[in-house]
Amino acid sequence: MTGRRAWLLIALGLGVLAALPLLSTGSVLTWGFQVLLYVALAQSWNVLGGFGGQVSLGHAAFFGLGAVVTRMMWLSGHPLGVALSAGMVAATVAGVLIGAPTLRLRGPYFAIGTLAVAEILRITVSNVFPEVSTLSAPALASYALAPRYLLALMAAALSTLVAWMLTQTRFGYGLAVVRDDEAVAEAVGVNAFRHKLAVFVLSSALAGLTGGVFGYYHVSFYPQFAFSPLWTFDALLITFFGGTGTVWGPPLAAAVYLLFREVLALRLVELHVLVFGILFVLVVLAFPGGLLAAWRALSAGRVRQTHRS
Amino acid sequence: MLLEVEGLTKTFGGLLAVSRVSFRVASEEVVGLLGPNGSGKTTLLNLIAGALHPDAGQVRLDNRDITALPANARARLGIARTFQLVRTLPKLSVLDNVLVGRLYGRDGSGLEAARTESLSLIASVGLRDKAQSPASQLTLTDQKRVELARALATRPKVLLLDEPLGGLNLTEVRAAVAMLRQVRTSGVTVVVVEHNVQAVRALCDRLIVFNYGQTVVEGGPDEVLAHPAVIEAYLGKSSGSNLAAFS
Amino acid sequence: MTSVLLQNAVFGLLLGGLYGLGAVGLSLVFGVLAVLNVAHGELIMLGGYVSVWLFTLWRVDPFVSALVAGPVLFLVGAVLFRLFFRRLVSFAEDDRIKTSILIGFGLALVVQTLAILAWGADERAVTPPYAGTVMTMGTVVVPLSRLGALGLAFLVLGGVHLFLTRTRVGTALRATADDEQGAVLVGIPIGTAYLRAFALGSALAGVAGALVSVSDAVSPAIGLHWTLKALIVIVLGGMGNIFGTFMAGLFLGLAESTSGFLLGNAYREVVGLMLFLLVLSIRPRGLLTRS
Ligand SMILES: Nc1ncnc2c1ncn2[C@@H]1O[C@H](COP(=O)(O)OP(=O)(O)O)[C@@H](O)[C@H]1O
Ligand SMILES: [Mg+2]
Repeated sequence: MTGRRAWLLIALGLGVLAALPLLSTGSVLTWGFQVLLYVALAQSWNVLGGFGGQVSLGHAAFFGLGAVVTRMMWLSGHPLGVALSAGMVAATVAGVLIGAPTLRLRGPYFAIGTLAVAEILRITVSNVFPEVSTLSAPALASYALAPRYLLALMAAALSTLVAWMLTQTRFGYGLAVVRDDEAVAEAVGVNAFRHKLAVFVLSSALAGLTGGVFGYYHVSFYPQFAFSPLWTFDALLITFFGGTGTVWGPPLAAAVYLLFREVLALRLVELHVLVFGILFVLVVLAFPGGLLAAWRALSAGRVRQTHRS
Repeated sequence: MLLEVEGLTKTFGGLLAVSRVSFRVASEEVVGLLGPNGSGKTTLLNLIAGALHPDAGQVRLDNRDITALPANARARLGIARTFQLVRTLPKLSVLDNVLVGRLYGRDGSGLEAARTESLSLIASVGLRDKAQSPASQLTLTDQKRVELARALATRPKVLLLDEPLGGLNLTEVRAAVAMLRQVRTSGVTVVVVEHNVQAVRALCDRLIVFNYGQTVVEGGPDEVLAHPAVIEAYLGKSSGSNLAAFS
Repeated sequence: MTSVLLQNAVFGLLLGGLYGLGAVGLSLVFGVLAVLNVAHGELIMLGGYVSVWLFTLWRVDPFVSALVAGPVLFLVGAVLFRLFFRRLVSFAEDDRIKTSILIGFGLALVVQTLAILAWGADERAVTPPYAGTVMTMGTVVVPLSRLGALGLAFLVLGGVHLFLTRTRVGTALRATADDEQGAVLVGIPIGTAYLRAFALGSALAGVAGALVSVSDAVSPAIGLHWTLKALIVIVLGGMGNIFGTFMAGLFLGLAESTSGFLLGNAYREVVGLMLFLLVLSIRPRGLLTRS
């Protein structure tokens, strides 16, 4: 599937997704919103962890910043566009400030260093803004799902576009080399640190946007909830499940994840975390390439067999 | 002078790996570095390429002091290298391995042009049919070709080769020497670390012999290889023809 | 003012002993296996539940439970190693650490969820008859149960120290931590050493968890908190030295309680994390480095 046919399919898919609010409301649209939110969330992590190879455990910090800043700007009367931009800018600036020191950490220290930073932010936010944030009565009265859904679609499409660009651009090639071997990258002229920082900031900005969509969507939440490490964990889970460093793995996995959650939640709220946690461990151990790679390996096996027969 | 190294010194902990080494390489010259294992040859290449920074001394390219520059900046100025233990990127295709060199190296090209140029480089090292295979599937000698193509893709002024023939069998060595001859005629300046004396004799204009991080002898291949100190120290009295046997 | 400060310091040290004990197991596992088990806090949580259940069912004293939690978590650790971490042994060190973080993280989710399903999300406490008994020294009050926990932590660490330095099995573990290839060469069965180290590290988490239950509530969600504390302590204290780790634990407890007093309780956690980042930014490989 290449070239024009692929583009046509993607355009068609986007068209159908964009038309969903016309066709349905309520639970289907809510589910659609959640899938798209998680696509954006996972893809924003995938850009850094999958394409950049930097396993950050502090992703929630940027999601949270986007959510809280967007929410506050919006509730204090700024236009939504301004509020979302402000959330993204906050996450981007934080990306520079946090990325620059943590990316110098080696081995496991980058992972646990980013986790520490995110926890510092979460605790600070819970201290400074302990109150739950609830929509005002007029905002509640005019609440509509469709625009939220469309925003989530936009964030998902944008982050997937960014992931795709990483397979098509000079920067993306340089990043792949940095991910696989920094010494080689430096030897051919790639500034490894700058590439890592750039992708860290890019990932933070996308996480900030996704957080902003969440902040605009939710009727009421505690600010610290947007900084919960669960956002990081969900992003990792989905990305690894779908396949790190692939464009279509995370969206596919996000849909499967939420379908699972929907079905299993009927029985027990926690069950989907359990099932997914186990699947995640199995994927990490057995299929480091994720769902997509496993599928490709299986179907390649089948093709080879049919050729032989 | 194209490349000048002056008083380079590097220690690891208490170990003096490279000690006050100075030499010059003229444009289009091919210089061979010889010396027993552990004598500091790889460290010296790392210092020139910028993978390591010296404790003292200078590296100059085209009369410009580049000692403070990081490796990536030196690569863009025209210093390319291969690694003693081959370092292809196993998950990427042969084409993508070479492509990054063309994209980021000296006067890097746009994506389309880079692709075409990389393919022709890949063909020139004899891997035309394998351009799309993942590098992990290649034999050692083919991986060394990929590394060579990747280094050449940066359009280097100076090419640093660390034991390009190491680990190859006789047929492969012959093919590789022929390929390096081609590189030589194309006008790239080369600094090559190699134990294979016949190959060194065939390829190099000048040899520098190291021991314990210091220059021992320097001169034309015949002169150096006949030097008593060299024969004694590295070839043994019986004067075997292949240094590799003693390393 | 000084007496309040002193009182805070005492509480900090008492808590710090648990930080130290919680970290030693993680440090041991990392030192020997180059596996960073970020589900270590969940093992501490399980140790806490051993104590909670023994107390709820049979009124077993938490200090006795601590001695039961150790062996129980030893077995849990052995099973976890067999099922998951054993496969990592063939990985190169960098890959091994990275993958172990991911697996530990998946396990943390699974263990935490299982705990919620089995015991609910509520906080549970253990209240032995002597809970609340204090010893007064001048103006400073010392809760006896916490003092006992500190004492037991110290004893257990002393035991581990003796085990590592005075027994063949312990010496083999230390040799593996020092130089894996060398250990293989002198004929140490490396797979067994790995299994023992992982199970022992888990057992220490179990003891720590039971001691946590003496003074703090236990719930399925406490795992991440304890993992973070253990990581901070390891980075602060360096590795390979049990008492160094223990001292770092005491230091962290002291730093937290003092800063909690000076800056307000809301910021005590932040101080530990800041210290952690400070050390890392000075030494990007951490004080914790495998030799
Ligand atoms: N990164 C390093 N850290 C510590 N010692 C090193 C390092 N690299 C090389 N050495 C030491 O420096 C000396 C020179 O090594 P090297 O340059 O690799 O020699 P050669 O390439 O001539 O065999 C050796 O003793 C080697 O062990
Ligand atoms: Mg060498």
